[in-house]
Amino acid sequence: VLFLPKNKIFAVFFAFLLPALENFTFAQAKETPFSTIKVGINAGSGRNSAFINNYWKLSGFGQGYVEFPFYSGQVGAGIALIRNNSRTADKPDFRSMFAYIGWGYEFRLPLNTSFSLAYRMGNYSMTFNDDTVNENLKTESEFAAGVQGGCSMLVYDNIEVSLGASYIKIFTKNKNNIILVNAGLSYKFVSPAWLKEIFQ
Amino acid sequence: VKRLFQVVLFFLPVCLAAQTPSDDISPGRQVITSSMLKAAGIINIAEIVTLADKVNYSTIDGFTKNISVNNLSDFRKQNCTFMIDGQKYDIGIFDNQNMNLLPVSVSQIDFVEIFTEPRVVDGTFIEGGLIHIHTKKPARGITAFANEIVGNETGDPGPYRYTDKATPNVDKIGPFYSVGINYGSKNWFAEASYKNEETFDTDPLIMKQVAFLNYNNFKTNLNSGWGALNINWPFGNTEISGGVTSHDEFFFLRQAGYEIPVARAFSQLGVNGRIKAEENISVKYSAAYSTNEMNKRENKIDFNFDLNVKKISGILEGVYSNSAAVFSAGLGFDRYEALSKRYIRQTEFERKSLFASLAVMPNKSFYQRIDFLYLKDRDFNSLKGSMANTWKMDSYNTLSSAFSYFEHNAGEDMSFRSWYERGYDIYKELKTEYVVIGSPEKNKTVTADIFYKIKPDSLLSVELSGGYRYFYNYNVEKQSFQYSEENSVFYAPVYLFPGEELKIISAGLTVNQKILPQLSHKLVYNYQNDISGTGNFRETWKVVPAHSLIYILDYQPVESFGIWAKIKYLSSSVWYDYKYANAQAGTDYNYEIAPRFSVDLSFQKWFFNRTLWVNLLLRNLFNRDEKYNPSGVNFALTDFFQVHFYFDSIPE
Repeated sequence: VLFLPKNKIFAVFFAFLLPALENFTFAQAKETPFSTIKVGINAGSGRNSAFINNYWKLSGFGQGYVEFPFYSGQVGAGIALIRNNSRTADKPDFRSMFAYIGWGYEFRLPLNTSFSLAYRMGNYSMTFNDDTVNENLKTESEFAAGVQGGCSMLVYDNIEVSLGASYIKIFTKNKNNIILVNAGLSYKFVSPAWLKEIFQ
Repeated sequence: VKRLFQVVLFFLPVCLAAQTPSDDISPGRQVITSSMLKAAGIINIAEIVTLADKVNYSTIDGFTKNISVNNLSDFRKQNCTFMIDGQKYDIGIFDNQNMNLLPVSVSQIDFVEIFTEPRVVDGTFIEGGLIHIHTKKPARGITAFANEIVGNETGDPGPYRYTDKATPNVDKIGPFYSVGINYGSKNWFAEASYKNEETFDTDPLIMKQVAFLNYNNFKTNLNSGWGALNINWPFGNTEISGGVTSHDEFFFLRQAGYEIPVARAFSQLGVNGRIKAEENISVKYSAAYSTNEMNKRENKIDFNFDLNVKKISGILEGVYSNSAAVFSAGLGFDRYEALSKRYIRQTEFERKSLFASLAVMPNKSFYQRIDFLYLKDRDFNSLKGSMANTWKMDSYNTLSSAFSYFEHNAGEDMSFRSWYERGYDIYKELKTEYVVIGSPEKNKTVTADIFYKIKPDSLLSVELSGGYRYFYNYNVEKQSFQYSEENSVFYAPVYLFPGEELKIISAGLTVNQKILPQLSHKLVYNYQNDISGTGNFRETWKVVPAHSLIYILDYQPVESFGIWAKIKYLSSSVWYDYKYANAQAGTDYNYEIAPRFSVDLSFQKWFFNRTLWVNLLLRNLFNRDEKYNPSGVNFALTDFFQVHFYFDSIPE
C-alpha cells in the first residue's frame, strides 16, 4: 500500500467495498450464474480529456451490451462506438471502438428501480481518417478501463429504461480520460439451456 | 541418545531401510503444475521462471530471460539444465539460454519440476539448477489442443500523435499460437505439436539499439515443431522424441554490447527409457543427436556467426532399488562437432563422465542422498559431488540440508569464452577485443543450504531456509561500457580476470496457506548478499537484487472460474559495467536499477465443460517502472488475452 498513490488506494478499497455492499442491499435477488441474459442498447454523448478536447469533439456514441448474473454480482460484455470530429483542418477525424468486459453489482430499489455500478476493461481501438499514413498505422489499439454507473426503471414486463454515465481511462502514453453520459433500453430473459451449458 | 543417533544418521548414509527413497522429499525441489501456470496466465516457456520460488531473472527484451537459480550463478553465466520428459536439451550458446527455444507449448505442460540444489539427475550434474518440463500424457483415443495469445503494452500515442505531445508507438505483442494432436492407446501414445511466437521490439531504447545493425525490421519470429512416441513394453518403456526450432531474432551478445540480427536454429532427436532386468534392477538409457546453430539474418555489416554445433550424447545407467535404498551408477558420453566456414582451431571434442548416486530411506522420517560425478575431457577433468538430507523430526517439523562441491572448466559449457579458447574469434569483425589477464583455472564452488519446514496441518506450511556459497578460482568477465551516441549502442573490450572469489549468504521464507477451500495465498521472501570476495566478483554480483518478495493470492470460487494476483518486489541492483555509459548517455540509461514493485492480475474462465479456456492477464497493473537491465526494456502495463481449446474426446 505504501507504494500506491492515493487514487490507487481508493481503487483497491473500492474493489472490496463494492462486494461488501451487497450484504446490505435488502432487495437484491440472488440468481444462479448465467441463468438470465440482459441485452441492451444505449446512446449518448461525452467529452475527451481537456487537451484532446481542444482538437477533437466527441460528437456521440452508441453501445450494445449483454449482462449475466455471475457467482457474485453481474458480468457483462459490450461494444461502444464513439465518433470524434476534428475541430481543425490539419487533424483527421477518428472513430473509436471500446470492446470491453465488465463486472459489477445491481442494487434493487423501491418503485421497480435499480442502481448499478460496474468496472469495465477492454480494448480501445482508434481508427484515424488519415490517408497520409500506412494502412497498418491508421488503427491503433490500447488498453482502457473505467467505471459505469446508472439507474434503471422497469417500464414494461422485462423491459427497462436506463440513464447512466461512464468514466473510461485510455492508457495511451499521455492518458485520455473520457466521460460519457447515456440513455437506453434493455430486455432481460431467461437463458436457454444451451447457453448455460457453454458457461459450465 | 535417540536424538543423538538421529543426528548421526542425518550426516551418514545408512542402507537399512523401510521405504523406497523418492525425489519427492529431496530438498530444493519445487513443482509447478499446469493449473498454476493457467492461474497465472503464463504466455510462453520462459515465463515459467516467474513462478519459481528460488529463481531470479533479468531480461533485455522482455521475452527471453537470463536466470539465476538459488544464487548458483549471476545473470552472466547461464548454466541451468533443461529437460523435456527426461531428455536433456542443450539450448545454450554464448552465455545465453533462451528457454523459448524449447520446442513445446505451455498448453502441453503437465507439470514443471525445478531443482535448485546441485546434484546428479539422469547422468547430468545440475550445477546451475534444473528446469524439467513434463508434458501431459494423452488419454486414450485422439485428443488435440489449440491456443492463441495476443498482448498489448500500453503507452501508444493515440490521438496525441497529431499534436506536440506525440510519442513513439509501442505496439502489440504476439500473436503466439500453438496446435497439437495426440493419440493414446493402451501401451503406447504419440504426440505432435507446433508453436509460433511473433514478438516485436517496440521499446524506444531497445529499438535504438537494434537499429544499429538492423534494416527497419523489428519483428522476431519463432517456429517450433515437437513430437514424441512412447511405448510401454512388458520389460520397461521407451520414448522417442524430438523437436525443431527456428528463431529469427536479435541476439544480445553481452560481450559486444548490443543486439545482432541472427537466424537461430535448434533441433534434437533422442530416445530414452528404462529396461527392467530384475525385480530390483533396471537399466536407464538415453541417446540424443542435436544441432545448435547461429546463422545469418540480414544486417547492415553482413555479419554471420556461422556456427553449427552438432552433438551426439548417450547415457547408460544401472539402477538397483529395494525397499530401503536406490543405488545407481552410470556412464555418460558427449561428442561435439563445430561446423563453420570460419577458422576454428578445435572443431571436435568429446567428454566422458562417470556418475553414481545412493539414496537411502531407513524409515519414514529420514532420507539421505549422495551423488558423485567425474567428468573427463581430453584437456581437463572435473569432480562434482553433493549430499542431501531430510529428517522428518515429527509429523509437523522437517529439517533438510544440501551440500555440494563441484569443479567447472570453461570447456564444459557453451560460453563465449569456451569458444574463444577453441579459436572461434569474431572480435575483430565486431571491433572489440577479448583480453585474458593471467592464467584461468577451473572454477570451484562449495554450496550449503539448510531448510526448516513447519507444517502444523494440511492447510499451512512455513519454510525457513539459509544458504552459503563459496565460489573460488573463478574467472570473471568485466567490461566498462562506453556509449556511442551516434549508434545508440554500448561497446567495450572484455577483460577476463582469473582467480576471483566470492562468498554469498542467503536466507528465505516461504509460507503457503489455504485460507478457505476456494482461497489460498503464498508468500516467498529471499535475501542474498556477498559477504566477502575479490573486488571484480563482488561488483559483478551486484546485478542480483539482495531482496525479493513475491505474494500470490489465488481465488477460485468455482471450478470453472478463478482470479489470481501477484505482488512482486525486487530491491535495487547495480550494473557496474554500465557505470561510464550511464554518465555518457544521460538519463536514458541508469546503471543503478531502482527497486521494482509490480502487481499482476489474472482472470481465467473455462467454458463448454473445460473445452474452452479463456484468460485475461494484466501485467504491471499500476503501470510502474519495471526495468531489469540498464540497456533493457522498461515494462509498462500490458494486457494479454489467451484462448485455449482442448478437445479430449475426438471420435476415432
